[in-house]
Amino acid sequence: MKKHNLLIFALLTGTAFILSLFIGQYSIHLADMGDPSSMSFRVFFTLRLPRTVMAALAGAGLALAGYVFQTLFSNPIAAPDIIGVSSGASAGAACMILLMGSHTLLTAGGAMLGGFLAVMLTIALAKQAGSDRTASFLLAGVAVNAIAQALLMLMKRSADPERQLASIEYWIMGSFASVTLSEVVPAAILALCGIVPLFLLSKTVSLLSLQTDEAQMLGVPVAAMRMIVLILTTLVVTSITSITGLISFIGLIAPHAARLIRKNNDRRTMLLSMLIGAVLVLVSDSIARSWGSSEIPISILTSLIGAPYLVFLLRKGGHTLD
Amino acid sequence: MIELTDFSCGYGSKTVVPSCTLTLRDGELTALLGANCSGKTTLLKGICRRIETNGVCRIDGLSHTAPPARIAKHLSYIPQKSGMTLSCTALDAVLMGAHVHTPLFSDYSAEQKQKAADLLRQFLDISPETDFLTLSAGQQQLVILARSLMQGANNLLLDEPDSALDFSNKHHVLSTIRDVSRTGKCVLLCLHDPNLALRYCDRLLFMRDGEIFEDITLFEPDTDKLNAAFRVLYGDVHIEHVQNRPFLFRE
Repeated sequence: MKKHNLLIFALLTGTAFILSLFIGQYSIHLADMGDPSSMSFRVFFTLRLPRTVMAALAGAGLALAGYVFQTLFSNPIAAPDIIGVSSGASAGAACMILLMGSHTLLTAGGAMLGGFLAVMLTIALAKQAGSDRTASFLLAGVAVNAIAQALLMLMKRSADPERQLASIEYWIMGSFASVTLSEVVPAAILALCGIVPLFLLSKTVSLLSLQTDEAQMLGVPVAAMRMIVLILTTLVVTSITSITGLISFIGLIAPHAARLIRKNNDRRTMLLSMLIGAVLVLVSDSIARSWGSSEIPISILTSLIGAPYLVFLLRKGGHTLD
Repeated sequence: MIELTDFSCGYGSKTVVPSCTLTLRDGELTALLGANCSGKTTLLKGICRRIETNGVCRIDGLSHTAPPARIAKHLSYIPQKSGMTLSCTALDAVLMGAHVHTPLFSDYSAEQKQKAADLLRQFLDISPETDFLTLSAGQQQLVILARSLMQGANNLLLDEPDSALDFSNKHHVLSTIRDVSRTGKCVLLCLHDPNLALRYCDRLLFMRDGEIFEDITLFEPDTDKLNAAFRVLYGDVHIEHVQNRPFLFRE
């Protein structure tokens, strides 16, 4: 299994991607695909393809972000929430919904800005502590997370319960329902601007899991690299969540599963983590849009699928989280 | 070669090693002996510039204030215990030493992977795919030693490599370190066990209250001088030769 796990998950991702293109309330008829005016053609290219691409990208990107955070903080249960990215993005999105209404692009912009502001605040607080140690970042992240959550609650309290509050809650639960091609392209470009360098930096990211002194003695300029990696990861998370809303559990489950399968901390484990993330989100989104008359928010499904899978892997591998 | 001139180091405003002038030569295995809190680890950290320092420290002629990537090509530090907390194969742990010789965005080359596998095989009889975290403390020390050789630095600092090791592992690790120094490396290690130092090292530095008060080369040593230095550290002790080897005994 270990030798072929990348190939197996690459095939699974490909299969999930293709199935996702054809699963949904409306059945795609292959015979009609040659006709640009047919419903099948329009549904496929206007709805299914952008949505499937975004789902695969979101799964891979969030899994990569989780993998990097777990490595950076030497903590197998670290996730993008840990330095306040997700709660910052939620607060930013909620702020835009309150100020400008449920405008997709403005909400996305607010989420991105909120996520980045949260990380910048985390970095500034960690620096104020006078140390570049991991513990300082984690504690600063906890503080920023709490601030963002408090702001979010404040905004929810003052939101119009009929429209704004529902929009905020729906955004927080995450969905690919309103994803369009015009949103996918810029989000994908931004996400790839973070994913590609992070993937290429995997060797250095692995060394950042060591203690600061140890990594520095192996030639890594730890403070600078940690900052670069944090900013690139934030770019990935915010560019995805700004379009999709929050997608729970992927950043935690996918990298953890990859580590349990490969028992390593290298580039291939990073890639496996991305493939697992992509499969999980593609499968969750396919179920979300085909089960029942109305769509199920994606986070409900990623948690329902991810948690038992994690328990299965833990039992199989005999691992604990300590 | 490591050269210290009027070198001092400490934590914040507290100076632990007030002044040290010393030359550590290539091919020489030197032990730093002293009681707890005598400043041994602080001196190693000072050379690595992990703490506040003053004075001159040159590593193969290069100031220890040079950027990490330049220093790492000349100096390797092996901590008491690696800070590795996430699963990683023994082979990849050794490969981490090659980071400084690999372009930032590239993966390790096939030659580097082969060299890492050879080093691992030289030191340990385990599968390269073994999870580093499942290895014993002695095996982990040897993997980290292999990593520092992968780093290719000429100067090695080891902080109590015998800590947490059983009797046979202590001797295995120390004899491996001696073999490494015989290849021309300059090796400085902190040790708590004086008999290990007497058996494996070429030179002993005796440290108390942050100062090196005696520096003895073990090639035809002056036994009286050696006895006197050990007595300063450990009280009523004396050296006896057993099977032509010096051993330290308590009175």
